[in-house]
Amino acid sequence: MTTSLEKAPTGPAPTHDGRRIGPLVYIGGGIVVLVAIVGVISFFWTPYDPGFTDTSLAKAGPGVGGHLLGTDRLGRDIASLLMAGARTTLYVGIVAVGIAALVGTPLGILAAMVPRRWSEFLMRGTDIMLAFPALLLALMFAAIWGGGITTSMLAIGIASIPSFIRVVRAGALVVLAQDYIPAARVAGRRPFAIAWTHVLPNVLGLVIVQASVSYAIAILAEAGLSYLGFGAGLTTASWGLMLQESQVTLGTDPLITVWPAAAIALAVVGFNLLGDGLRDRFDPRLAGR
Amino acid sequence: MSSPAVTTKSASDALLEVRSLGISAGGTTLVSDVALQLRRGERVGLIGASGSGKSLTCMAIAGLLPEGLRTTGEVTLDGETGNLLQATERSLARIRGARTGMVFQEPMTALNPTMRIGPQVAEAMRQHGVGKAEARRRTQELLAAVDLPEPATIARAYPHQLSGGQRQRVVLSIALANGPDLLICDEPTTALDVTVQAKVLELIESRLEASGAALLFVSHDLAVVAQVCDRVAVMYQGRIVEQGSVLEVLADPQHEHTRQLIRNADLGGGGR
Repeated sequence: MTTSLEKAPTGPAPTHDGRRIGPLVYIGGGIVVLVAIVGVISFFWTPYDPGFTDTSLAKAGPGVGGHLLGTDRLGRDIASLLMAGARTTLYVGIVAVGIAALVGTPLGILAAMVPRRWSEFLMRGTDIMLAFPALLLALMFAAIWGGGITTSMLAIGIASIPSFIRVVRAGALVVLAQDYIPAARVAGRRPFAIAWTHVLPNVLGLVIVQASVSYAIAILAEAGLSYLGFGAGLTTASWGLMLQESQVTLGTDPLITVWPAAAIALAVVGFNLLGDGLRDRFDPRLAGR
Repeated sequence: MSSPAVTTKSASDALLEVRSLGISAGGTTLVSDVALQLRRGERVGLIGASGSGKSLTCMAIAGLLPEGLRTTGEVTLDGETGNLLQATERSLARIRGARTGMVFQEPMTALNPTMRIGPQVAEAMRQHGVGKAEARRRTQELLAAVDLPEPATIARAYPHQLSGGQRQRVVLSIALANGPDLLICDEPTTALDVTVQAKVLELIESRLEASGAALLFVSHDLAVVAQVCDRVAVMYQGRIVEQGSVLEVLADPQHEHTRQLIRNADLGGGGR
């Protein structure tokens, strides 16, 4: 669109051009969208009521009695359970990643902008949190407040904060080294305004990548917690819970275990692919590729 | 080339006063005993090889020194603002932008890639109490004043859509947005190719004539300084080794390092 007044730019080409969104993003994004759609549909429609038990038709194989993926040992429709479980997965992921991003992003920018002794303090605190396993944190929370979805979301969210702080701080340091930051300071902009208008928009790409990767971790953690009995209650459909319940029948009817396992794997792979693909696009360290 | 500055030589005319400025990192002295005075409307060049401390001096004046550097001495603007070296970020924020503007070396990184040009130019004015509509109108004027064609289109563009020269014009328009008394240019044309460089220099000169702002021009290129400035200060190893009018210094350099710079410079386009 520019009316070229002078010769071509003299510096290196802007990094935004020449870096395209790869096929990984489309595959990962497609899986994510699929899980999301299934989760949303489950609010309005599932083939059967996911809570409806029919012991006369327990452990039916796929297709038997109109059950697309068969039934579990209580005779519940597996397809319906999976759909309702997608809802739980998405809900837990959104809240957990939301907590992590909303707390971690400002702290990361803060760590990049404050004097060194303060940022050292923040980053060592981050290291300590990072050294604390997420699952252990969740178990501790469950021990204090009892298990449940809220506890797991909180624990997973808090455990994901440090990685956000690290990624955002690293990105913010790169941004802060650009001339438009001192330019804004010379123009009289205060630190908060600089953080909001200049730093945040330029690290948002990294935040999105981190959110996608954290989402995958959150799905796994939620499934793990439910499996251990500290996550979703028995009345909530959850992939982790399905895994746990299918344990009894693993020897005789392994398919009942395969379905939720496949669903978890698919969702995790989807978010990871999306995150990796987006990283190729946004990560400053990969610039110029 | 040297413009007859509209000044009487009274002491109250001093705009920028730098007294015995010293900068050190840890135990290492980077800049010492720098004294510099700019009168209103005066154009002073600060030259020296890379590592001579000219950029640090200029950063200290703008209050942009990185954390961990210790400063001594005094920098005052207009005699009334107190020592800027000791000023808090809060009080600096009020002085900056309104009283000083700055143009940076690298036009590729001097603009926020995620913001359209218009808001970036308006930002400086909005900060100092100009209304939204007024800022938008003046943005167009400013962009037109730095010879950018179709200011309305440029204002809607993102930085990566502009060429290096165009970006540096935008940076200049931001620096001049609030009609500052002092314009600081840190190697503003080093990253541009020669033809663009000449145009941007002409533009800086014409904008200064229009606004009456003083200029502190940092460069390693004597030829560029000779074109734009009235006075020149030569820095070498963290000190000002020679200071005087451009003509004097060029005709009769006193310091060996100045002679070296003159030998290396491409003055008047003849030879190397």
